[in-house]
Amino acid sequence: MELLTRLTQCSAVSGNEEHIVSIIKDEIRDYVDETYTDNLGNLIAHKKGDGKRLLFAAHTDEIGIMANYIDDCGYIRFACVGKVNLYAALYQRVRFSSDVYGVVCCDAKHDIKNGLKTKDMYIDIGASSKEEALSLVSPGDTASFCGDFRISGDKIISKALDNRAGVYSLVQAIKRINYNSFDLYFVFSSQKELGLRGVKPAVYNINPDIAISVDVTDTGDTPNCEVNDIKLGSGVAVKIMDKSVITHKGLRNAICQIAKDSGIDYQYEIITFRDNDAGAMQTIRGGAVTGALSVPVRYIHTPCETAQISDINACISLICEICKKDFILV
Amino acid sequence: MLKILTELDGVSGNEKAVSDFIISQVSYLSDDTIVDSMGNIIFFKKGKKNNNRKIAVFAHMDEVGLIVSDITDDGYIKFAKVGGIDDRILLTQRVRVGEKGIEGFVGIKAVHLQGNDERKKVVKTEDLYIDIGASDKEDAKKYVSKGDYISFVSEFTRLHDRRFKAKAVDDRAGCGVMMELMKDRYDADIYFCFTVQEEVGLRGAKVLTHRIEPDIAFILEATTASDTPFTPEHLYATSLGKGPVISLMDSGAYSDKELNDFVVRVATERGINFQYKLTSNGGNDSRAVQTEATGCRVCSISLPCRYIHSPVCVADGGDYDNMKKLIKAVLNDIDEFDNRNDGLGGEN
Amino acid sequence: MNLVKRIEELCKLCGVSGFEHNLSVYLENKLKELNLKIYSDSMGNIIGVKKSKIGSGKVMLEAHIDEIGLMVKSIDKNGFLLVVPVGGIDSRILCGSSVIVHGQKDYVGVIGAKPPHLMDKEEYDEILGFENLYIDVGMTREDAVANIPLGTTVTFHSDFVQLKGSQCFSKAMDDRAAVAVLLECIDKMKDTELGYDLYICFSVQEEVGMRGANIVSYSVNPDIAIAIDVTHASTPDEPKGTFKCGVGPVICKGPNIHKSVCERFIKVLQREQIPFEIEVEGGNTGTDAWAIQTAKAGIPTMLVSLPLKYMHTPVETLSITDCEHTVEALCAFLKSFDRTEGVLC
Repeated sequence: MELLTRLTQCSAVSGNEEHIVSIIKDEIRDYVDETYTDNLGNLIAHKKGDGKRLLFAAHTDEIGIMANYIDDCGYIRFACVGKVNLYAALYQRVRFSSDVYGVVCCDAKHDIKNGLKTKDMYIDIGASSKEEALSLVSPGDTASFCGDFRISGDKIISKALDNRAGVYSLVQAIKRINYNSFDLYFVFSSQKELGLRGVKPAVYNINPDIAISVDVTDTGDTPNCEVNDIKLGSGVAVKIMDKSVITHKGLRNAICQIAKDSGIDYQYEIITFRDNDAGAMQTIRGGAVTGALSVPVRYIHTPCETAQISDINACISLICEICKKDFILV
Repeated sequence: MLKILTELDGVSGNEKAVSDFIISQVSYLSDDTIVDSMGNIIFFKKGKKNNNRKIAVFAHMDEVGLIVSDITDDGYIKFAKVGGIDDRILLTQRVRVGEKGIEGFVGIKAVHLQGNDERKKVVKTEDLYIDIGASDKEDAKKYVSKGDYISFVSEFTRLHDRRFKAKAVDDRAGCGVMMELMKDRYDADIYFCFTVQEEVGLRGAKVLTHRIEPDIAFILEATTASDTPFTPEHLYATSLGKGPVISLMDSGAYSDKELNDFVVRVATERGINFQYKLTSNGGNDSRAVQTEATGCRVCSISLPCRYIHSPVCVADGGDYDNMKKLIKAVLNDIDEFDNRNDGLGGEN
Repeated sequence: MNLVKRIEELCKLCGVSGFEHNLSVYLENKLKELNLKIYSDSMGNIIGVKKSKIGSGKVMLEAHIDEIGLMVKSIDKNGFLLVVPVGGIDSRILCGSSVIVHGQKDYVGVIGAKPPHLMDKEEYDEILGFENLYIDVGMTREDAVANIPLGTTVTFHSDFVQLKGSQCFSKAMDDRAAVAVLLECIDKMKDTELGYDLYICFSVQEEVGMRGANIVSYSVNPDIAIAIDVTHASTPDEPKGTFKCGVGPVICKGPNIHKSVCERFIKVLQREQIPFEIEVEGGNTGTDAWAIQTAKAGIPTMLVSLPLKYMHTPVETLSITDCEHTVEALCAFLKSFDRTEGVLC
């Protein structure tokens, strides 16, 4: 869990993925043939093999905020980076990359019953003047939400499990793969939370035959939530559909068969919201056969995202098994 | 030059008048010119040094406007919007319709004839019409056909000091700057791209990016200035007179941090004033350029412009000159920018 | 086979976006009968090519084969199926309709909701969203779980019916009528030697965001593309800005459309005295044409639409004469030039 702790606690607001990329690079360097980064800040790892090009993608970025206007008293106005739930953000702590902490507040006179917009909110970093604030934070600096890594029973609570749970799964799988029947590419993609941006050029350049995204999904196992059958603890989710993608039926069936044969717990995922890198990958160039695995996570896009360790382990095992099998798509 | 450029009509999908003019003025400066099937123009200028990096500069030729959707039995013209226009600015605007440039205006019934409720409502596009003075449908059809484009009529006018008002400052300002830039030769190879259909979804830039696959791109734009009454200061996107605008993040793209820093360094070294865009809405061609095909590093440099997407854009001549200066300096020094990606991105 | 029969056969096949297999099998056979070379790709788009012996240009005709539908997302403790929409469906039309659930076998089901008697007044005035609806297939939970895996798709249970005049209704007229038009068109052109390669593309997943057209236009990369889709025909509650069934094909104009290709098409129709109407779209046409135009380095694109009433319902209605005129129009246009270059300027 030490690695997952480091990964979740690292700050990588969309567009600022360089720190997490360097952690990942150090972890996987010895297990792959080459690693490189591209113009968009994607980290790409290549593990050579003779078969078809199989690509896995996990996005490294997280949601956060960006400072834009600093007023005369040193308070910071901000914009959201990615889909931040402002109600969940209110009175949370944020950390700017320069190790400056702040609190997300809303104008005292503003009644949140009338809705909550960033224009009515600000961040207090404890500065007492504009000059002091500017010495700590410049316009354009980003901050991530604070959310400690905690283990509670068989569950994990932390910020940024979306998508460090996916990143961690992929990193651990890379370390374990000792036989691969595919030419393997691993993309740690940037700027997913801004609209599936990083993965597009990465996939364009690699032009894989098969592409599988590794991300997180919402669950239907909390009180009075939108009904779906995804539960924490029921294993890795194999995506059928979300707002951005309907996955390739043959690939989906092959993945489920592999899971069954290897005794890995899996469940189906059907949701009507959320975008996934798979949506972008499916329609690049002449198209790749596309699928997606998801780690079930509760309370996505809050500082207390919750996942179950066994689901993450199932995800790691399934990735390893997929790389081994020379499966045929029907 | 800005006067001529802004007074040309070039609603998205109908940029021919603008592109013909630009070609007539600057094609002699280009080493290789391509006009693609959508109407995008690429002028390639070989660098003084040998270079394996592709640098591209983008500005879009199109402007927001209207298009004829139907003609009523009485000879009035029904229309649809092309690009984002606020319904509230349309009433009584003067327009030119079709290639023949038929004069007309957006009609609305006299205030006396409107009930109290009606007076308080925003009139929607579907309830508006254009009057060209035709007597009936047959008469109107002599001058106008379905699918004809409609542009605002607004003369370029100098205001106090160096400020001016015009239509289509978004993005003829960018076009004007780029035409000026083309007069010089730089160390690097540069693709000067005049794009179409930005206002309807970055359509031209998308296909151009597939053709060029640039490594670094600068997007020259006009952007919202909201330093106007009733707006709290923290919601000023940009302000007139404070120099060209460098985007941090908008709804379409997250500017490349290192490239932004480089532009800021160049500006600081040369003493050119600049400002950051302080809000994150809006979007421009940089989105398409950044993520299409092989992916590239982008930086948007814009002219601050009040009342954008209306016939009365107001901008500042000093900002325009500084924008030219800044981009020229950036292109001159671009070899100093170290494209530090260690991979294949953009190269294959 | 006549055109009505073709449309009927196609409409009866079921293929919700992402699950177009039935259509692919049918179309591959049809294209084979017509002696076309056939390809398919990673998403299941079907491409038939009529090779030219003379020239080398490429013209692409495109229609989408998927239809809107529902997908089973959960089975409750009593065996009722909870669903999500695939594509744009008005949830208000669903209650009381009968559907086919494509599980291990096809099962007929009905869509129910809480009876009005049990609702309080406020509830009664609210619309029924997908969260309030369920499918009843008459199974126990055990039977349902065994026979209807999650992810099973659901289509409308609807017959193909000819109304008075030339109008017909069915589910999935959007866009199977256009698919039939394309088949009819190549059938008619069987013996015609063209000066360019003609690509017939049947694309998938239009209803969820033009996804199939995106990749098919990238890989075919034609010089000219024509998308055939449906547009809204006028009904008493929406008489403005739409077209009557029977006015002929509707030709779109606007930024999505290549001007000179469109002008040429219209000239051909005028010369052949084929009736048509003009439709204007200021931006996104909401059809595959929008995706095709910006594929790769850009593709000159046109959009021809069939006027259709009650889009995305089990009773999509259109006029067969419009389909016939569209076939004539396409054939006349395709025969009107030998080389693609000439059409583009």
